[in-house]
Amino acid sequence: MLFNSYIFLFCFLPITYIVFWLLRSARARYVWLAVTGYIFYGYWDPRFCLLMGFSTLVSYLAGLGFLKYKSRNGRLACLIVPIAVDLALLGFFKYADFTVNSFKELFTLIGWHVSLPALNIILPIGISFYTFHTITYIVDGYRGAIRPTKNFFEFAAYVSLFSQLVAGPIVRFRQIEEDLESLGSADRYRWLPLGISFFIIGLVEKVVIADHLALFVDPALAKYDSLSTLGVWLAMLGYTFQLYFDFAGYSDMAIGLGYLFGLRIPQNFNSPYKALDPGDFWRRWHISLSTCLRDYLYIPLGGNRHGEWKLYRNLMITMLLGGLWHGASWTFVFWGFYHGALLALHHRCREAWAQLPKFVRWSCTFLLVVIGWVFFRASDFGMAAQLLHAMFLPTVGVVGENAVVFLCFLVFAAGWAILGPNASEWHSDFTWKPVYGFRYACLFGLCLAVIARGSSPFLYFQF
Amino acid sequence: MIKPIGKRIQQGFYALAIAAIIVVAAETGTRLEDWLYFGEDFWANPTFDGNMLVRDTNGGHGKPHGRYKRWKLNSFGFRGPEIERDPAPDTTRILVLGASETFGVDESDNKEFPAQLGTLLRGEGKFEVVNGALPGMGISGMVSYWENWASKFRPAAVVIYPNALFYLCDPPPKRPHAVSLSTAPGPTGNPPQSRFIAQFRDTLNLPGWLKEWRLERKIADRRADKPAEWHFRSVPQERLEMFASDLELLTASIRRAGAEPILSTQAIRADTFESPANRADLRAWLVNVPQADERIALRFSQQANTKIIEFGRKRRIFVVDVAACLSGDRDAFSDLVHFRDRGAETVARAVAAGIQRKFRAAAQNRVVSQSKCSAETPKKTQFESR
Repeated sequence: MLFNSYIFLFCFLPITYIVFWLLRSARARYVWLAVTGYIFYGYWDPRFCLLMGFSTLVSYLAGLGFLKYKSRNGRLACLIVPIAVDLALLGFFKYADFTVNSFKELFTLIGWHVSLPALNIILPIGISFYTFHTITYIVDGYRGAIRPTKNFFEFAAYVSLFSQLVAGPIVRFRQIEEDLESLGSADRYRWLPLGISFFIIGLVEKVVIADHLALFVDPALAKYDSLSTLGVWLAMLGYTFQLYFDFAGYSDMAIGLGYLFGLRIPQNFNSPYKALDPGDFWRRWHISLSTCLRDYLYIPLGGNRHGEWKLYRNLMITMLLGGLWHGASWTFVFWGFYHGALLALHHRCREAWAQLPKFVRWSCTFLLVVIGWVFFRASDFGMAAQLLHAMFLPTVGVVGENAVVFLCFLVFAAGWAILGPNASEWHSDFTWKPVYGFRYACLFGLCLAVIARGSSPFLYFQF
Repeated sequence: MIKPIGKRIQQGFYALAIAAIIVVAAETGTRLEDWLYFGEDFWANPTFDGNMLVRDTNGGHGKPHGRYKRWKLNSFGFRGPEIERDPAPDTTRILVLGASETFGVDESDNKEFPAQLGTLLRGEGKFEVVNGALPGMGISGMVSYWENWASKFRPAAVVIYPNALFYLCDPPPKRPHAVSLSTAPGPTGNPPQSRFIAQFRDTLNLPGWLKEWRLERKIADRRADKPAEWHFRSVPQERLEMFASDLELLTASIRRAGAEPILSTQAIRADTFESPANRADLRAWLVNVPQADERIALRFSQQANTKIIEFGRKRRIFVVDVAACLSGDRDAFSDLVHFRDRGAETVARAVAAGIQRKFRAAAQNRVVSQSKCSAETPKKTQFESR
């Protein structure tokens, strides 16, 4: 079920909302949130609910283990076993095909002809996200950063919370623990205006901007080999903003939905295209993922505590795994490597970089990020090479369809992303006025019109 | 605490105003989208029939420069690229007649089968393919359409992709020459309508059980108050004969005009009655043919195809047996009769192979009568003449 579908907007959300607030106790609300989370998830393929249920149960038991066992060995077992189970599930469903195919290609490359079976495993939607939810819970439980819950439904509600289940943000238990604990006494009216506002702005970002950019970008990149230099630049710039508004839109909708149910979900995007260096970009882009990678991978690896070369090594490992997390493909791994290299390079010459004029720093960072998206978007290295070739060497070809309409949306999208406020800034000093109702009604109506034409799924669903 | 009445009325008005703004914004947004992407006038109330069909002294035909959503017609009212009225001297013009399956509904742009046929034949010398199909046009409608309009474009060959299932409708198709495109708009234009609601209805993806319930209700409505003898108990032979007789009229008329008819059998997604998916497809079609049941609809389609092949043999008309290579290939269809891109490609390949054989044989003064899928070769691409 998509947030930008009629079934969600007019059926699932109203029913979930009304029943949630009719229920009085926290326990009943946990149960309801868990049940609706599974309905939301099972709408794609009910079979995968079992998988999520299993992962939830294992992580919940690990939490109970931390409460029960005080010995180091006991706690280590409660840390390692469930994480191994979670990673094994993620590895099997997401990376098994990739691994087999990579070995096949490697063997072919060295002249061995080995017949390995094609597994053709269906990737359960959102598995990368809920696996991260459960892993962060287990690690935080082990570290003592949270007190694991004894209430199974509270934990199940956290894992299967439909607003952040399939495409994040990756909300750590400790970030909404307080709200979950006080769910029974949550104030419905306090967060309602913020919820509506965040949700509709997110819907506009996704439906009005990202989907309109996609109308040019998707067909253009589908026949990328016929594009001219201008066509490739337009398509890649379009993709740059499409990806941002698609994912930031989803995140803002998730934050809005969280508010509707009395849960404060943290900000996930902070105008990343305003970044002045690669490090700044990663502090602004998909914040919940980059902070997770920082706290659960980079810092445990040693962070910047053991000298410069180890810092580079740690950065590279973190970004390579971050790239692989996005998708089981070597292009994603290379994208991670590329950003790792940018971060290392920036770290090495950060003082000289800081001397550059602000506009130069911004434009270089933006250009480097756009080049990175080539690898992110390309289905293989051949496509990436051809796109880069057309971007930097004059190429004759077509521009794409509906270029004028697209340019209007591109200028608007770029203006908003680079100069305008993001949804969190927009709401920094938010007070509801009745006239806002008309404004949001107008925006919602426009979104319904675009959805009626046929809206596309969120780009981050594939991860 | 009970709210004061004034406050309640105020809140009621506020909610109504919000709802009204949502509706107006949705309608405005839909019209803006149509204007941006399809060049549709903001204030117009377009319908497919009103925008795409016209009735004039040439009878009913496609509207010159007609445009509705993503569909565009050329200056002669045909879907596809611009053409000259007369074919160039060294060009073999092939006109394709059919209904919505041929016109192209669910395929991507330029993937409807006549467009793909044009692409395939482009490498085979000077062929020019014209998509002369119109949604809803059965064989009887094609007769007057051909005589009054399409024949003026002097094709060398006319490919006929029939939808025999129209002959199960209630009432059955009008007799040829009594047919005009009755759906063309009257002089007052289209009535005002909400484009948002129309769009909403088109894209609304209801859960399967609800779709099934609505379908059953529609079928029941169409069968309501009908006497027992109204229902078909077996394949209605008189309808098959009607179909064959219309085919006879159409092909004779085409030959009289100096063109060569090429017939095709009709492929449908359900090739047997055994699988539940096939039965569901056939059931969905019963909305159009409520007198029949699923079995009768399937048998009628199969027997009509046999009739086409027999008719082709008898009249020495070349037949491309598309049904033999595509029926039952579920991924090739979007519903019982309409194609997806791949289905349209398969049809185009089958017809192209047939046309190549036909014209090669004609050049060598040989007669070939039928082209169909070979039993030994994969269904999708290889064809063999016999």
